[in-house]
Amino acid sequence: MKLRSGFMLVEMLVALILLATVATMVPLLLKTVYQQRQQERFFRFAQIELANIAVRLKANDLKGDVSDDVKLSVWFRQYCPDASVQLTRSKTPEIYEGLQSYRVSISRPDGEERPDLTQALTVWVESVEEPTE
Amino acid sequence: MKAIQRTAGRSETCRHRMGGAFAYVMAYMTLSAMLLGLSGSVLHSILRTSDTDRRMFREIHVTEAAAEVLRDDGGRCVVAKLTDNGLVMELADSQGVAWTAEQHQLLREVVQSGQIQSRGQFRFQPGTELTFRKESERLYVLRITAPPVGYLPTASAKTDGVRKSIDVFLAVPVPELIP
Repeated sequence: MKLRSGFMLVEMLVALILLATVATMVPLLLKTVYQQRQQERFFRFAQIELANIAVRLKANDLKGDVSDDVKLSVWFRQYCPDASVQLTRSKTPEIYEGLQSYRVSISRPDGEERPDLTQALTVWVESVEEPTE
Repeated sequence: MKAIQRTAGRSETCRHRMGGAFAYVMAYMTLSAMLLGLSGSVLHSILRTSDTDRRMFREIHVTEAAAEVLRDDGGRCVVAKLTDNGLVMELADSQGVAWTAEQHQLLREVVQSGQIQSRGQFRFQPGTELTFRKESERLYVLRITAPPVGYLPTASAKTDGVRKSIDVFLAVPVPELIP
């Protein structure tokens, strides 16, 4: 009987270790797969949203200071509620006179201790002459 | 005598061991069933999610393709006008492009001198709603609203539920600025 109970304990331990390993690995693997899909989804939607912002910039639809006016669409926020948009006006080389370049980037956090996911686009817009007094 | 005692002892042990083996088998079967059931449900969830993602990325792909052509038409057009279920654009070279939303499809027809030159379509998943609207003087928007989750294209299909949408902006030149 002594031998049998020892054998049972070893079996139990092995089974528990195996179960614990599986229980630890499966959620991690599932989380990784989920995160990868979220990333891919973000990049695809961000591409569409960046193209929309580019269209609005080119059509001069953004009034006033474009850096403040640019916002993410309602539809995009449905998919990526934690995303944010940034628009920076960059210095244009002299050879591109009459054009103004903007760098639009959409980013969202990607978990702790990981860099933010960012999708960016540079838009060239015909600069509007400011009226001189 | 010793032989008889040994035989009796063995039979007792065997009886005990057989009972123990049955309990073991039951315990293992229960554990295996639990593990298999869990694996099955996880696998089912993964496959279902993959299928949903695959359909969604297909929709995005169609959206991107339609957006590219639509923006290109918008950039070349002289005048754009909203219709009941679409958008009509007149191009500079006396051509016209008509975008029509029909159920879950976007039809694009290029017309010249009253005759259809070419026709194309962008097919979304059944249950998708497509609408055009004017956002501002130069901006038009195509809104693609996906069917609710779990939508099945049957006659009694429910169309209520959470519906997500994608907006595609296109700009048209201001008519006054065109030479």
